[in-house]
Amino acid sequence: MSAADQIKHNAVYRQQKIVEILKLLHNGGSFEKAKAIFDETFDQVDVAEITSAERELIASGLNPMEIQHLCNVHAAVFKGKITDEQTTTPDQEQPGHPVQVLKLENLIIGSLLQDELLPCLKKWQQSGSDDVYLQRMRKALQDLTTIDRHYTRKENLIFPLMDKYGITAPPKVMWGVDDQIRDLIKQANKLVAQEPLPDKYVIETAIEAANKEIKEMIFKEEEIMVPMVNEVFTVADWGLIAAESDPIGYTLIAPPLPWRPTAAQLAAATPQVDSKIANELNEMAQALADQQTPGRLKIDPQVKNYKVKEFKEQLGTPAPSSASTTDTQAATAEPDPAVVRPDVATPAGSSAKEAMADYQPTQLLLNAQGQAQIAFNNGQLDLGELTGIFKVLPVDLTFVDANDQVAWFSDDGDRVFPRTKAVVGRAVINCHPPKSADRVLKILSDFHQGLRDHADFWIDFRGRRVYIRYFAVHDEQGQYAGCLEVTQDITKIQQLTGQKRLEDEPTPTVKDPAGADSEAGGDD
Amino acid sequence: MTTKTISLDRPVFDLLSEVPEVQPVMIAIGLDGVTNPLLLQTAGRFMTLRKGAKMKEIPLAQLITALHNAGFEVAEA
Repeated sequence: MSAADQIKHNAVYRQQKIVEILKLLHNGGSFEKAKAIFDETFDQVDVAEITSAERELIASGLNPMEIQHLCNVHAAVFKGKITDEQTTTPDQEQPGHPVQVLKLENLIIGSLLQDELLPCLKKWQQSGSDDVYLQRMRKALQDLTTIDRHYTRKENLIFPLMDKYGITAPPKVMWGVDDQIRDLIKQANKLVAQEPLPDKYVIETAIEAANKEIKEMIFKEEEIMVPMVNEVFTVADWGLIAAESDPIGYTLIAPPLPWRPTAAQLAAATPQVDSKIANELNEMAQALADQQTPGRLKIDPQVKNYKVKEFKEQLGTPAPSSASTTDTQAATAEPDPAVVRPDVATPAGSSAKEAMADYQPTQLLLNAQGQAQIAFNNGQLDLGELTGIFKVLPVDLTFVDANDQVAWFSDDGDRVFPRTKAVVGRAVINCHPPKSADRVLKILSDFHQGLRDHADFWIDFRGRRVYIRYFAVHDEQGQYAGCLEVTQDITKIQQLTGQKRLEDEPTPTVKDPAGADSEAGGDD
Repeated sequence: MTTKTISLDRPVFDLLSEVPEVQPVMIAIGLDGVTNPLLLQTAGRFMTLRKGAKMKEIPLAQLITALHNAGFEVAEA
């Protein structure tokens, strides 16, 4: 084999290896193993050669995003080499680990500010009327709005777990500042888009305010939040965060590699609660919980009696006559209906009353195959059907239980507001930006007390018109069971005009199935 | 009266438990996160004077001068 052949062979061999590494990582393979292959293949080559191999790969049609992953590996490997005592890459520096992703985004955000936005601002101020710098500032500020994803991941994935471990104050404060930063960026974007352009000084002030807060937040995240959560988070917690990150999205970086804890790590993972700080935090959380219990939102017993009575009347079963004392109590205690009587749908007419008379309370049945069936008043559903129905309902549901903690949410894969598993069990009050906390509490307290049974909102969110409704949910005994949030993207619904009736459906033609298929496929 | 020595690298939670009279000095110079007791008990275990100064872009020399003027010794190491 000639020397030239050998080089060529090596180049091909290396490319194969790179593809192998990428495949391994994409299938969730271990980073250490990928690193080993990388080391083995590239030990003898220098950085320039790797770079040229990467360039070749791009030329041969490999997605540049894939290359970026490789660069991450490359960087991690290189790092391992210069600090010699480090033979393994720490978890949190591995590509795709939520901490690595958070820091990578911060690096890019910092660079966007430091190397683009601020220099352009300075040059634009000096240049009189140079439009190029203004355009670049507009672009940079536009890019900066995607910081929303970085913050949303933090607020929806990291904060709920911090809450769980009793670290409640820092997330609240941070969320408030996150919102402030979102506003500052929005403000700056508005200013640079204004016609005529406001005074340069006004724009400078707005951009510098945003810059200062963003930089401070980067510091808080990396120097305070990460060390703090490292005292309490388990490797499984990080795994959950990583797994739930993609749907929310990333700020100015490609979706990272799918990092996940190894089986060995999970098995060895003793929660780090033996650490002193974690213990202290847990004690604090406990103390807070103890404090809160007596002050919890209480259901007014009078309203409850009233509601139970009303509900039983609806069901056609008279309130228990055996307990005549209860009846008199309820009668004397009955609050003024004009004030308290919630706007509950009452069945209209006697036929509805009759229907309520054979109302069958929901129960669980086992069918002949031993599968659970949920028997509602109007029919039965099995678990598969129920799951399927929740998946296709054209609304996003989130249920908050009677203790005001998130119990469940529906997931059709395209929610208007991202929800992640980390949110389950979280106090609902912590799921909202602090600035709206008071109003959320008021609605919930009204629901608990039976003062109202729904609250509706409609907002414009990321180019969509969103209808958000909250309903008080009661169980069959009339007890408050929780609050259901129903969110719906009504953009298209609002645009509907005229009608589309069944007659407007194309008439089915008797064709071979393949033909029918292609027609259906071309429908959209 | 003995002058108290302040370490720039002690968690502010520990620092303020021991030397609460530093707090007004910190607030005056702009390190005002310590006014929220819940924040102090959590984030304060990870925040130090040095980190706080860096975060708020307060020159270290300025912080040290402020502490000296308030009658504290500063251990820099």
